[in-house]
Amino acid sequence: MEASEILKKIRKIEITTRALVNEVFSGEYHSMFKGHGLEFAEVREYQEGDSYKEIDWMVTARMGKPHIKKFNETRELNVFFLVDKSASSLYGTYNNIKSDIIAEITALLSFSALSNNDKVGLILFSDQIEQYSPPRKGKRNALKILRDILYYKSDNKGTKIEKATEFVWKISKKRSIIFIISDFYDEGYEHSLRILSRKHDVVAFRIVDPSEITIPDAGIMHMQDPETGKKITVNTSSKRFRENFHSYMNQQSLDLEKNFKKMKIDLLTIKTNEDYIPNLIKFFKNRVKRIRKG
Amino acid sequence: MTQFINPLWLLLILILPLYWYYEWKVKSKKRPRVQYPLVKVIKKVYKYNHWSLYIPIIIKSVLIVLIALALARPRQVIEHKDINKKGIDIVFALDLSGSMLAVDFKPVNRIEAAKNVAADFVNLRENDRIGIVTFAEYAYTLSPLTFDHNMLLHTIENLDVDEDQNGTAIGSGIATAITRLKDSEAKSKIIILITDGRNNAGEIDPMTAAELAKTLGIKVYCVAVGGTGPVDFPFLHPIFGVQYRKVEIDIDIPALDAIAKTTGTNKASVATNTEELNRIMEEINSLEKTEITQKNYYEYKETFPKILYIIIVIILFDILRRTVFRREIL
Repeated sequence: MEASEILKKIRKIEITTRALVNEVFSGEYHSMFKGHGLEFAEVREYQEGDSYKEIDWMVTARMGKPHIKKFNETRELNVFFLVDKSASSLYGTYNNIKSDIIAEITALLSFSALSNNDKVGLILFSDQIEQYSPPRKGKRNALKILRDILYYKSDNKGTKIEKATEFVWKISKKRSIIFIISDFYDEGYEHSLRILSRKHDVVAFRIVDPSEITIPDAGIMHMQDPETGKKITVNTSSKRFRENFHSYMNQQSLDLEKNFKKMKIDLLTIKTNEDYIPNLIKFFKNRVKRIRKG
Repeated sequence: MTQFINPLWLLLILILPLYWYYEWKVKSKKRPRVQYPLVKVIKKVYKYNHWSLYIPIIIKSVLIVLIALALARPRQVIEHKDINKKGIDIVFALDLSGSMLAVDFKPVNRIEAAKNVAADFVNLRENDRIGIVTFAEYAYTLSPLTFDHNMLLHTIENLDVDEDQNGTAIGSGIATAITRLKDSEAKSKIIILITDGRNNAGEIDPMTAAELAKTLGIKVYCVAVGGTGPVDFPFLHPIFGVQYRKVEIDIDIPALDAIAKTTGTNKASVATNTEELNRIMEEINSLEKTEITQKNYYEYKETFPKILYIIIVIILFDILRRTVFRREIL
């Protein structure tokens, strides 16, 4: 992409997302994430309605009456974007390729974070860490992140989510919000992801193209995997093949969802051909509800 | 019959392996491909390699073969022979008297030996008309002059000695043969007389017959089979079945010589064994060379238009296949 083109794109994304940030996420964003980075606020006597969990037993013992210790959530969360830059992210059969959607979502979320005074960091990965921008505040940083996502060209084609999760694990001492945006065409990352999700608030966005779920009937196709370079020629007019493929991918999807549910990681699947904004809003609203409950 | 005018073009078929190599190795590398991230999954799911994947290659291979065939210009040759053969006419005069049963062409008897050489001779004289006359006490025509050599061979095969007849009517035999030949317009007419005896029956003297032949321009080759002296002769013993005994059979060679001399074939040949008989027949064969001026006319039917139609149909089918039935991406 040309630099001017990228600028234009950044501009466009900025404008469309700003409106969304203001309208949709303004009230919700703060509560979207459990802030457990706590700051001591006060110690006061127990009142009706207070959670017994908050009772400070040391003070209570000393004073003879139940006291609770109050903390304020510290804002200024660290938000990390783990963005898949592998070759498969350049695929898309509708208006947008996956990496476009990835950029848009990252922009939307990073502007939301920005409006909440959070620090935003970016990790681009393929089968290794491609680029790391440490968490910073400010609109400039948000724009820089957007530019990096759009501009960065990875030389490595594979996908290794494990590398990225391990990297974040190492660099983030504080509890953070971690967005993983990828197509999750990878294996063997579950373990490190589970470990990561114990400490951090992990949210996963899976970006898929509709043709990755259902192969269209397009006659004989010569295909090559952009990541592994493997080649195959298939007759996509074979109904049996298309059905097999579809059921396989469906199963794969279900397995993934089940896995993430087990790990207690919220997963949203976004298709490149759909308008993802309503889904995204619904997703976050559900999340808020769940967090308030729990 | 199909022949190719430019058969060198058929070598074009040899490029097929090259083409296949190109398809497998070179083209599959250079071919533009849809970048698709889930080839791994497809490999898992698409285990059966359906034959229809090879349709494009099959079609192109068939086209190459057909084009090579068309370029080689096959044509059908329809041959018209001018059957104006100017061969000679030959009549075998074969002695079927009882003495022909004598077994001196061991392991076969005279008649079998004579039949064998006669059959060989018929095979050699492809362009001549041949007839067969047999004689013992009387003479019969078994086959008039004919080109139907298959029928002649069959007839020869079925010859056997007529045991009911006594005597050997060489004169009658020659005369009957002459009757067969007298109306012939062939430039050379011959009688091959195979006998083993002495003229002792019939109403025509051999010499008279020979004179007759001479007047009509017919040459008589005389072949005497069997040697002089006693020879094994079979007879049916009432108790012991077929037995052999020595019998003196007397061949009248001077008479045969005289016939030969009269009709212009020098002298009679005597065969006492199979080799000799064969040699004699070969000699006769080589003496009676026929020159055939045979004109052949050829009519040609070009076959390549048909191949072209097939090629066009295949190409149209391929276009349909690509566009309507089974599209091919890239």
